[in-house]
Amino acid sequence: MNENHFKKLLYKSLDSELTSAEKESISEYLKQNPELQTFNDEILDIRLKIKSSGKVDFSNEFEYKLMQKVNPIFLKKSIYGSLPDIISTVFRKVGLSAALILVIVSIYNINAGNNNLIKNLFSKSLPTMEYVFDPTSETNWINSR
Amino acid sequence: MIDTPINTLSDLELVDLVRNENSRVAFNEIVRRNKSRISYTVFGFLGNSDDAEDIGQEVFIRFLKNINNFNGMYSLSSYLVKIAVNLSLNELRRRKIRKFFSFDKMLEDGIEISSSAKIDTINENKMLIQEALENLSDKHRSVIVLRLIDEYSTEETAQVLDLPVGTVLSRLARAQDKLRDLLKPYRDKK
Repeated sequence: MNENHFKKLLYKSLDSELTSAEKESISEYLKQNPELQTFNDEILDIRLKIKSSGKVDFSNEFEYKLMQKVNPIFLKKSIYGSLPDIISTVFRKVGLSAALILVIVSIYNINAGNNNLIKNLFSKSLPTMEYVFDPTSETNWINSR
Repeated sequence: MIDTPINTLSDLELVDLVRNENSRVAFNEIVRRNKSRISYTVFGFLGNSDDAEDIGQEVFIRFLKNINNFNGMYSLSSYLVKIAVNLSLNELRRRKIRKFFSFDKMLEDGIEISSSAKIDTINENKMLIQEALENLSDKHRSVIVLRLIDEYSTEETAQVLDLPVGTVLSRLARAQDKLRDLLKPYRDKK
């Protein structure tokens, strides 16, 4: 096995678990190869420096500044947050009421012998009651059926 | 839930409070719990720059605006770090474009610390590391920042970056090789 293989094993040992056989082989190789030991020390040193260099916290005003920025979003959500629900409820209520009124008016008109509403809506007239049951006009009666 | 102290609530309960009750207190608690991790990620990517804090704020603003997209598949901190990684990478791309158009080639060939003689050793080390990190590609920098600065496990790093664990391990190895090469002249000086 070459040096590259042990370098790979060294890297692997830093970021995941080695098998016991791998651990044994690498510790043996490290003892016999001071260059690889130096390599290992350098990598450990770099990792340590990276760890310590990157730990920077936001300033003390971070939260304050952030909350200032998000306040309008919260405000918008509180005003318009339920708008879709309100709109859908209003539309549903208005729609149902309109449909109900239309049905009642239609029934009333048909019963009263006035089919103008249906005629206007569907451009088709229904035969009036008198017309349908007019015994003197058989042709029209049949047509109406 | 109202009587429960806010700091005892789980992350998911806090998200529900923000989502359903528009709770600023719950949002503030989410920020308080996660700001350190986000700062490590953002500063890890962008260095100690003025816009790093703005990007950090943008992480939480994006989260709030799209809170309905959070489905609990990832932990809240991983989700926020994911946003932080994406925003930081976008910022780095913007910087590259700015640098290209400003014809600033000073740092193009390796690392250069302009006033290293005047700064103390700790800061010099930090600057060296930061500039070495800036010389890494986005994919290598991402694994280094998450694994070594954020101190995520290899599995968590893989999860945040949506990569297989094996890919994270190989990218880590390549990134450390590159860092070792970049920092070699400074090691030899000492």
